[in-house]
Amino acid sequence: MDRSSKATVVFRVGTLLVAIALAFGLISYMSNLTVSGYHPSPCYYNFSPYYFCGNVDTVPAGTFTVLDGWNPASPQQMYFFNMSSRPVGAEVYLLKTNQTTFDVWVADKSGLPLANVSLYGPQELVWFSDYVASHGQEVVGQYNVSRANVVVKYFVPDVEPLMFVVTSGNAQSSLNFTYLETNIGVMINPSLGFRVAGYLAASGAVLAVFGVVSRRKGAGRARGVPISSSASP
Amino acid sequence: MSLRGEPKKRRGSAFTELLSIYLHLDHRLPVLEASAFLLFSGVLLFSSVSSGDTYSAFSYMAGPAGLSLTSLILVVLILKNLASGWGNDFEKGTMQTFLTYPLSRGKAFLARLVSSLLVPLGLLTLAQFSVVFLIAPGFALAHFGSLLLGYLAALTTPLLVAAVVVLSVLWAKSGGVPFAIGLVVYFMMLIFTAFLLSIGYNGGYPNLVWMVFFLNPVYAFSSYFGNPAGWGLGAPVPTYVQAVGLLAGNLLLSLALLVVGALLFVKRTEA
Repeated sequence: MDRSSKATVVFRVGTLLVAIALAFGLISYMSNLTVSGYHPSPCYYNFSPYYFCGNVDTVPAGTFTVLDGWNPASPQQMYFFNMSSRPVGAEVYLLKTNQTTFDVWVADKSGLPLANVSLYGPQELVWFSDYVASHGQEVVGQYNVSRANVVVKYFVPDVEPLMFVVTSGNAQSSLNFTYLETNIGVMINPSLGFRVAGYLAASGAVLAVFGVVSRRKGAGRARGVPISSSASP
Repeated sequence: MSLRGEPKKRRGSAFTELLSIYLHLDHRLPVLEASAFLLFSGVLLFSSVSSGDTYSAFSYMAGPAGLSLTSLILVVLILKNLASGWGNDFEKGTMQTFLTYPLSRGKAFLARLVSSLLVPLGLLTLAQFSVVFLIAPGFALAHFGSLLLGYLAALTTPLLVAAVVVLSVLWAKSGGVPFAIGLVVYFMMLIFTAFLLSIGYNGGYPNLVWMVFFLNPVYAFSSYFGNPAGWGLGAPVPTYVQAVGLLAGNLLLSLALLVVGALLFVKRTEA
């Protein structure tokens, strides 16, 4: 394979990577639109033809399974929302509809926290941004929520036994959660998707430019023209 | 260098040269990129992991009855490359130019097959597996076997279409008719197998059901995984070994047809 052919291959690999990056970018953008366009109502996805209303399930307080062996320092009421059967890409929401203070995080089967929690968006959305691979070793991701109509949202990254853990220092009778789940199923976590798209686009652009430059150099050499003056395309 | 060694070297480079020409013809600048964009978007948008079980892993790759956007894109690429591209080479006489390369006919056929079939297949494989490992690595590792089976089962129809198109190009020596044949075979495989399966289930024809299982192993696995598309009770349900056997049989059939195509190509171009 001569220099020109090698340069062409490098250029095409670069453009291929950019095309794949575009796909990731587009789908991530769509996913992000959904997240940004959140409106707290049971049918908050009806603005988009692709997504549809998920199951709406009101879970009364006091009906959740208490995890065995959990020994909190203070006498707290704990609630577990089992997400083990949630599809990948589903988004799980927890709407808190009263003023009770509570802490919430995502845990694995043993109750150990998996992800940090951060405030997301103007709608007081609590967004468990990224999946943490090192299960149980991450810092406890607690978010003290004392306002009403706060939504906890979690993007299910994988099919694994995961749970919401909610603790409250107050009486459970005052807690009232609405549990929502969307059946999106085929999305990518926007932050992950944008990251992948960025890496692919950057490496693809570098390869494409490298391919073009070496093809020009090759063409210049073939014509016997010094490389520095071979500027024609 | 020995005299024996010299032609071998030249043959190897001739294969690469012919392959690069075919690659250039089949995958001009926006074609490969557009295909990659569509395949990755299709996988991200339409392939869903509905739950954490093995059937979910299988259907993630296979789609319902092997019908998915990715499968359709693959068939379109195969038809474009093999029927339009290769068929037009025969029609316009450019095939004669390619045959002047110091290369055996079998290798010339192989070069065309690698460019027209294996490159799109590679792209599809990259899209399917990279996305599932990205969005659900734990799930993908736990159910890799089922993902692979689903992938192979979804490939059966496009591969059969490719084999039929190869044979019809060699028969018609043109591009238009094989394109139409390929399209008809693809949709027949998807639509009529569903009808035949329905008749087999509801009419009590187990042999018909087994035939459909062979033609479209996605149905065999769906039945094995306990989701026989909601059709009749008491219908035959293959065991795991039988389903894998049907899948292997189907893939071997496509391979055998491609070998027949290669032999026909050698025979017709040497004549």
